[in-house]
Amino acid sequence: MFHRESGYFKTTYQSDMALYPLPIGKAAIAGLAILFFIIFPLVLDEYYLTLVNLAAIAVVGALGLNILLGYCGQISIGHAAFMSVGAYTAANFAVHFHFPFWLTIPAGGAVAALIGLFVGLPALRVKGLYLAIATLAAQFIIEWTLNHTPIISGGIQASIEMPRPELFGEVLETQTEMYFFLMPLSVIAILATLNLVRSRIGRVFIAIRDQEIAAEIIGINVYRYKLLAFAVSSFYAGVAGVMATYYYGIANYEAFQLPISIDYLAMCIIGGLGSVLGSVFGAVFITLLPFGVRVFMETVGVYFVDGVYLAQVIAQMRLIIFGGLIIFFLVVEPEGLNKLWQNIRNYFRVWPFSY
Amino acid sequence: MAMGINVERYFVLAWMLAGFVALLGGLVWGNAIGVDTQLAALGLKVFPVVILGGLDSILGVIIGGVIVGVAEAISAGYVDPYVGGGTKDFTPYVLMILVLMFRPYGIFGKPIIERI
Repeated sequence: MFHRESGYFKTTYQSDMALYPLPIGKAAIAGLAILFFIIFPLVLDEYYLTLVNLAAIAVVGALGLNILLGYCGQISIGHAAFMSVGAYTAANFAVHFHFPFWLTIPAGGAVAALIGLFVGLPALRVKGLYLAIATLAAQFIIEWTLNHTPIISGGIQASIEMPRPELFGEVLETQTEMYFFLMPLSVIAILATLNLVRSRIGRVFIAIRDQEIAAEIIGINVYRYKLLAFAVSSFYAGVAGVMATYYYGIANYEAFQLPISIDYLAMCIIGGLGSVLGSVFGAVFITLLPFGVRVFMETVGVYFVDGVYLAQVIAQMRLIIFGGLIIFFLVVEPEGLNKLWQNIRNYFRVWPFSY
Repeated sequence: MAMGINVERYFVLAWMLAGFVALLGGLVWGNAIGVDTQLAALGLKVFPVVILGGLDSILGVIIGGVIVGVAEAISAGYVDPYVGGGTKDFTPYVLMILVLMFRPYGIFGKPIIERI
């Protein structure tokens, strides 16, 4: 049962497209499921569950951006703005109409997708750097609109208090309960993406990314699929925004500003463009990095820095190490963490031989 | 590279020139308005300018800069009182998108011809 293939033996398209090409895949999924749904919540401290929860939210957002950036080749610097659209939609529905979470999540995603369609319109005319700046404009415009429309956000600098999600009459409040709320959503997002990218739509996205004119010539409606990519990506962002609102307990535009958009771009690029596993790696890496830096500075940094200044130094070091690591990873492996993981796997697959 | 051009050297040169010209901009800006750590955020404002004018046109940058500056001042003066402020930050971007919808390569940019 626990074996890997020794060569390339696939003879049908079905076996090439299969989610679990080998029995070990199912075993690994089962093992991960036990790890994440039984061992983690039981063993981990509340503090560490916080980190896992944040990572679960980031995974959904990063998957959305990776569909757009990695699969369809359209860049967006307005991802956090779509998250805020989802967050405010959900918060308003939950507060004014008392929607339960299984309605606010699709609603937040749908409204974000609608806004994403509009933001995607410039993609029909421009690409590359031009498109990046056009989506950057969307980030600023959405942020400003939310902030200056009292009906949506309750006034300038205000935030909406979000009711806690309820499941079977139980109000989810502790980190462990939130974990069981966020984690399944994250798993659903991963599965949905895996299935999307191996479907017809996913293949069209890849065709557009690789060579837009060629894709158009073989009969793909490029404009339609570009807009679709924006809509799907924004839907994911909206869902991530709703998850974040439920998690933080408030909807506030400050949680979705430009640096967050750039964080999500970094997640996709560090993790590996055009790979689902890569987005997961990137999201976890970027989310855990600040906490890793803090632990590092508190254990090692105390020997170099006076205790009084440590808090300030940590805040600054975080940015420096963040930027440094991004450059380091991109220089070492331009195709991201996913490629790094594949290299390790391939090494052990043929071990003890060199190839 | 095949023509004997030392690509790396000219990349370095281009970056150095970009840095130097940006330094001049920073000097003027700092003299007029003052220096703080948030000055780096100004870097985002140059994008509407160059894209509005066209990415490979010097004349476009000059004219784009004037347009963006004037548009910012107009919106800060005439629009802000009605909607509650802050329009200055994104007016250049709105203007840029409008221009891009009609001229995808900016006002003076050269269209890129794509090959398969």
